Amino acid sequence: MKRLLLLPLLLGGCAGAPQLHEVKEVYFCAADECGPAGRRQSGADMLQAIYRLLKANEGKDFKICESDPKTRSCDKEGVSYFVMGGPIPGLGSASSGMMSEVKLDSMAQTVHSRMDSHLRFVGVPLACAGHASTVTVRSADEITMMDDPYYCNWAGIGNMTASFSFAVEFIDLDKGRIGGYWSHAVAGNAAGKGSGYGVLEFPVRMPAGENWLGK
Amino acid sequence: MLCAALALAPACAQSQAQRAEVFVQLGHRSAVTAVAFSPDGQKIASAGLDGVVKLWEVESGRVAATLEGRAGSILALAWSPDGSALVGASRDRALQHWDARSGALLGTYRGHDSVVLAVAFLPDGQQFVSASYDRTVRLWRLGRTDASVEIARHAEPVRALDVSRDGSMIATVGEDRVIKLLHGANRSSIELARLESAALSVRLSPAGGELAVGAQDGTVRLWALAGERGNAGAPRVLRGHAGPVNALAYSADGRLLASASGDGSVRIWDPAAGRELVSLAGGGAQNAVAFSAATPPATRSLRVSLRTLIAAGGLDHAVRVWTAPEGEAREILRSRTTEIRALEFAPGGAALAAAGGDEVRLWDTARGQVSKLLKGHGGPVDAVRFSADGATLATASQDGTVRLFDHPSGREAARLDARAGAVFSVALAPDGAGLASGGRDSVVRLWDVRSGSVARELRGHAAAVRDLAYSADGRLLASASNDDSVRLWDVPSGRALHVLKGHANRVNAVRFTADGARLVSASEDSTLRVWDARSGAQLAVLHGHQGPVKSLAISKAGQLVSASVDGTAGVWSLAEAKLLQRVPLRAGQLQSVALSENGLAAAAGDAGVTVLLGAQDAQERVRLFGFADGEWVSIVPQGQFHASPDGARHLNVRVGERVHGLEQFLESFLRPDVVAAAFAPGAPPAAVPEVKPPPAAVPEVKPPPAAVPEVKPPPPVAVPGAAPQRRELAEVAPAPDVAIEGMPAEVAGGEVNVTLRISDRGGGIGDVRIYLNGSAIVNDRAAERAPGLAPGGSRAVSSERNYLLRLVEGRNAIRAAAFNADNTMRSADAVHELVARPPGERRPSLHAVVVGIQEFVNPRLQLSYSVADANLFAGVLEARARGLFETVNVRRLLTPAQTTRAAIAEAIAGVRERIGPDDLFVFFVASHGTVDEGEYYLLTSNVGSTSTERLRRDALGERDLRDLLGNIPATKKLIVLDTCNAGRLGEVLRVATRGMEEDRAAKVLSRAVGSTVLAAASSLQEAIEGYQGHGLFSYVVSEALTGKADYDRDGFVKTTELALYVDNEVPELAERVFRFKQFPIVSPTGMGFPVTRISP
Repeated sequence: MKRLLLLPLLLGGCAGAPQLHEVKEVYFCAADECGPAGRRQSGADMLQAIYRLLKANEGKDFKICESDPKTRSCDKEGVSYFVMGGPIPGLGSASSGMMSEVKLDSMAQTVHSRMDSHLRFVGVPLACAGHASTVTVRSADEITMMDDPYYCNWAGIGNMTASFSFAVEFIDLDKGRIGGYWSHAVAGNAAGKGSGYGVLEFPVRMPAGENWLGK
Repeated sequence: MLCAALALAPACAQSQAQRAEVFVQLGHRSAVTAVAFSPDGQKIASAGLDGVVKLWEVESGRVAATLEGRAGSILALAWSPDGSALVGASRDRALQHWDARSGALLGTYRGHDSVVLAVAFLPDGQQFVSASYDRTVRLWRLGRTDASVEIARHAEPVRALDVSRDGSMIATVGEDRVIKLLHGANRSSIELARLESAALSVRLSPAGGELAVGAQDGTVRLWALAGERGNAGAPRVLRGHAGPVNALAYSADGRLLASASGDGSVRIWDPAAGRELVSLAGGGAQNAVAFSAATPPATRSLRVSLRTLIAAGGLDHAVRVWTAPEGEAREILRSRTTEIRALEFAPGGAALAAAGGDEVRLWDTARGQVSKLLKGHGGPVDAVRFSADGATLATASQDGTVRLFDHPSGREAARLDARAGAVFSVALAPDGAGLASGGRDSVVRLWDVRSGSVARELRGHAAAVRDLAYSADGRLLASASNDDSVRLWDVPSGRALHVLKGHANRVNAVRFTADGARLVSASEDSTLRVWDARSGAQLAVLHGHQGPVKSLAISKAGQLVSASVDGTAGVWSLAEAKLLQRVPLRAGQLQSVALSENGLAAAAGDAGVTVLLGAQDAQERVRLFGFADGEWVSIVPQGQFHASPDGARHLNVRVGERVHGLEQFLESFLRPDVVAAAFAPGAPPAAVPEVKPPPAAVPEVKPPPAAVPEVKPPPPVAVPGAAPQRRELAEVAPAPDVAIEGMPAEVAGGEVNVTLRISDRGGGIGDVRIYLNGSAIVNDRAAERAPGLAPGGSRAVSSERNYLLRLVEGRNAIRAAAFNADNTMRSADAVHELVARPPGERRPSLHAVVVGIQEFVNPRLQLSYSVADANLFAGVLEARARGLFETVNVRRLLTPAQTTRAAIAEAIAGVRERIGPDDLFVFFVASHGTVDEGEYYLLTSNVGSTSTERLRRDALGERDLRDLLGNIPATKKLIVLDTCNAGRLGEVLRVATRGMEEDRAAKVLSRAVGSTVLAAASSLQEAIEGYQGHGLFSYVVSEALTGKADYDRDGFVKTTELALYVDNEVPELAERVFRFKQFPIVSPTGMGFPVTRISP
């Protein structure tokens, strides 16, 4: 699902709006049942589901995987895309992250957190600033995750701004997964942009017995 | 064929467009996001996250059409002002434009960069505006799908917009909390206000002086508008909602405002007073609300009042309709079926268990009908399995229990409860002594069925166990789990033999091949995998489905089928590990599939319909519908169906642009025998028995009779040499429209002249029927009139007919209906109620025609007890009815001369002259009965040969009986048919479906005449042996009337009691005396009333 862009010089640094239109319907698994979210869950249910999952994983690293809407599993750790790092062409990748300060704003239908993203360029880690990340749930099948643009430095010499957006296509509370269509971009000394289908896999799952969505 | 050859001919085009289509009312399968009344108020359009638009008829509550979208969820809808077009705002960045009449998708409009959230037409009907997640508002012109103009932009997604009635103002609101007004031709923009929370909905009042905004904080804010700048002061705030206000609507006169909220309520406000009038409970969060137009819909009935209606939709997939402002509930528009989660055939294929919701339906596949509805579970049933001997059905439910039901009795024999939470899976060991269950707690439990105790627990899975399967020898057990693995267990030792890993997601199903060498699993990862049962090695990965695979089945011969949420059944070659065929079933997202041992495959899912296919040819045989209220229908692709008493009402048939209930086709298409034949092993997919040719040429029209039409013995329909035709429901031409015209609400006398306006809709005009208080009193047969309203309907004709009806004192409910020219489709009823005050008082009388036919032209048909039965019945009536009626007039027809076809018809017609509307009419006959080519015949004394052609000519057919009995102008009728089945003489009948066809005939007769019908198709043996010197059925009926059926001890035997007594006693006596299973046919219809009096 990775989409490499061949014209890096033309790339901007904005991940753009989440690719909500790619999401036909949000597929939702909870309490050992799977099905379209709009069938049984309201937007408020989904907001609670996401909040509880993220809260349970506060301060813990989660995996970012390449995936496919047919499998919705972690097919390969890390997502990557082509980046022109000054004169150096190479692959930029994101393989994990961590959320902290997870807060629910029911009225605004959002979950706010502080995100630490672990990025690499040609295998070398970037030092990135923590930044705000917001999950917005407008309805059971209109769920987005947007990171505020954040600063990164590569090997002390490359300064860039990164941005990330995510249109949620599935949530699996039992397996601690959130999947969807991601867009990531960097701009500055390095420039690149990529998008695809991926999964955020959290270490703490929501056991069915504790899962109020079993209804 | 002709139309294919003349495809350009307008008449053919029309005829093609009018092909009848049967469909079940499914409703939305996800949350409803938008509702809108058509400008004429006749339809409600609703849209949902499921990506379709549904058009509902306001009057009938039926789905008129489902408009399929191609751009994902639809989030908003707008009708063009003239009602010809519908535009939907879609997830896939597009707007879609449908022809509201044909349902055709005319265009997909692209230009937005993200999800489109709102849409509204401008008054010219040629332009519309849209709002998007991409923060823009765009203006479009119908027909120009790729040209739009950005007319406004917000800083955040634009959630809603509205256009003023004159088109001069557009209001938009967004997540940036800003309310904008766009004025004039250049759409100059001003910021009216900025809220403290996101604005989700907006409406301009019809007069344009007010703006309402619904907000995330649960408030509705009202601004008074004046001038181009809005001049808005502080808004008035309506509080009451406890959740976001997702939608708003003004009534057409602007005096009411409705709000739909995430708190689950719909509230109606008086905006002028700022007061809440009523709060209505929706089913979960409400996303959409709309008022009907000011002009009330023109209706044929009084079902829809002239009041304003309000519709709302939300999380529970339903559209709710209330009156406004009262909030009286009118209708809930939604699916009439429940999702089917599990299917299983009994060994041999004689029964099919289908689990939907908390219940399991058992379908009798020999008869094509529901035989039992198993209740008791307190949660969804996720699995059903038969024991190897078919005597037990095990069910697993999320209520935490496994239950064992005796099959076929349906008695709950045992309940297994490990108190370990939801149970998702169950399997019965081949020896019947063991049972395995698995559920949410990840443990596989092996039960001792006899003691009901857990014999062993198998632990190892890390997540819920979704499915279980024993190998044929019972030594191996496979468990499929949400932990993405399959485990293989040695049953005797409980040891885990292998953990089969490979699936990338949950494993939903697992089955062994018949030889036990391999097993196959199905997964959420959209694949099936084949494993070696001995080594646990993965042998193959089967790709082909486009979504999670929920179920699989393997036949003894090695055929593999699968069911996926992609809506298809997969047919695989296990040997070659390849997909042979993906069969789209039009049954929603599939959850379960099963194979029978006699060559059928069944698949079902969220649409609640089970599709039966030939396992080899994958051709559809039958669709089975079980409805939420317990009713059911089974129907073959050609339209012949079998149904529970009210089941047909739940299926819709579209003819042209109109939608009807399947019950309007009941008299022609109720064919349990055809459905049963489709279940039979080896039946061809299009197995439709021959159907009678249509009647001979229809004579010309005579002026309609001014009084009750004369009924003559119906002419035989002779079609020598005519080739049998196959009639399909899809080819039925539409029934006419019927209206009762110019009727008073009250009459002083005892008669009224009824004028019917009958409008041909292209199918011609056939029989016309009038019911008084539920009983047919006029059956104006087309063949008796001279119609001129030719079948085929190349010209639309409107006809006026007059009938003089005699009325009962007090309330008279008159229903009128007409058939199309070939009497295959009945119109919707026209209804009128009036009060009559006839002069004087008169006690009702009883008129009976009692027929006993013992001797026939064909001596082989000789019967022994028919005359005695008739005399017994007549005697009981004469003795026991006297105290109840003014006079008791029993006419006995007992000799061969009195019991010819013509003589019986004449005797019944004679009663018509003497009987009044308050009187009781009883028709009793003891004779032979038979069914040939789907039509019931009562054999009269003049019958010699029982060949089809001679039966039509010599016997009284069911249509003849309908005509004769349907023209008796009494509101109380009782029909008793004790007919020994001539089929046992071996001359004509298909014995396999005996009884079923008589049952159909009785139901149709009962419905057509509006009378209680008691009937028995007794066996020849019973007829020969007799019981107490009589036929058993007649004896029981007579005993009932002498007092044994007076259950409530009020001194009278009423028709309801009579039916109950006969239904109870006949089977018991038949079993005891003859060792036969004999079930009478009891079809109570119309009014219940006393027939005999027991105490003086």
